[in-house]
Amino acid sequence: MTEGLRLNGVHHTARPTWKLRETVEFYRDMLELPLVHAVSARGWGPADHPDFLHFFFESGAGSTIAFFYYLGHQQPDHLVHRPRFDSDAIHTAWRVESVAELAAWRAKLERNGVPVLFQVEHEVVESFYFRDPNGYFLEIGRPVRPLSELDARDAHLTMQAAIEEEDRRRARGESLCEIGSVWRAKGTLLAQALCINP
Amino acid sequence: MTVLIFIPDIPEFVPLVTAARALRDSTVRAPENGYWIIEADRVLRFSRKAMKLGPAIWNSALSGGFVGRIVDYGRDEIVIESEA
Repeated sequence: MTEGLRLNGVHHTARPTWKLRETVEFYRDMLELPLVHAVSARGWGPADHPDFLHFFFESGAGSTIAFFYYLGHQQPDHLVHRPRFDSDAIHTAWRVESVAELAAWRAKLERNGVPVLFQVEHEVVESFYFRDPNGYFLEIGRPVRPLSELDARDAHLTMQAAIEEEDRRRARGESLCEIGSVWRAKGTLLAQALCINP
Repeated sequence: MTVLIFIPDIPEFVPLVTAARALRDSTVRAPENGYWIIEADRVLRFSRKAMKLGPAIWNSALSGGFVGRIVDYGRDEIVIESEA
């Protein structure tokens, strides 16, 4: 690793949109994210690249969220967002700082006809979820507590256990298909680290 | 052989530690290296109703790791037995 290298926050994330007006109105007006930049260009690079708009909304703490709109380009089937856990894993979560702010955002969206899918407190964040005009999954959440050194250490141990367990299973021609095996592998690692002989 | 459950010493897992303290035939060891250790000779049994856990924590209740064998992990009860 080269010392001193550090990625300094997210400049932008980007997704395609097939709903130009709706996307601008949703992010700029509903979510109150200022439109701060727009590229409008003829297609270039690949021969089949259409003319396009690439526009950016400021999304807090120096980040932006951006969209591509391809002129005259039909939405391919594989990019139609299907509301399912695996597709919805791709999502953006905005941060607010308090219970009151979270409630105010939920009320605003519902007042303006944006359905809130559900609200949940899960470990370190309390969030509610909704969708943008393309169906993309979005989240607004407030931190329940700050992350600690133990959170990071536990995360490393969990991922070590998962990767090693998956390697073992692959070597046997199996797949990692239930989380209990990861917890068990993690328990073995912890018992060894703590010199416990069960 | 014993059953061991490791529980990270972070706030959302406090109900698990509290529930473990109320169990008979088990021991709760103060955190070592950041993990509470729940220990029993043959079996550990947790009730969701008794712990009043929401779905997120109930479904990651063993995420600190364990030594043993999951016999039951349904909507209302977790049962872990020793392997021998």
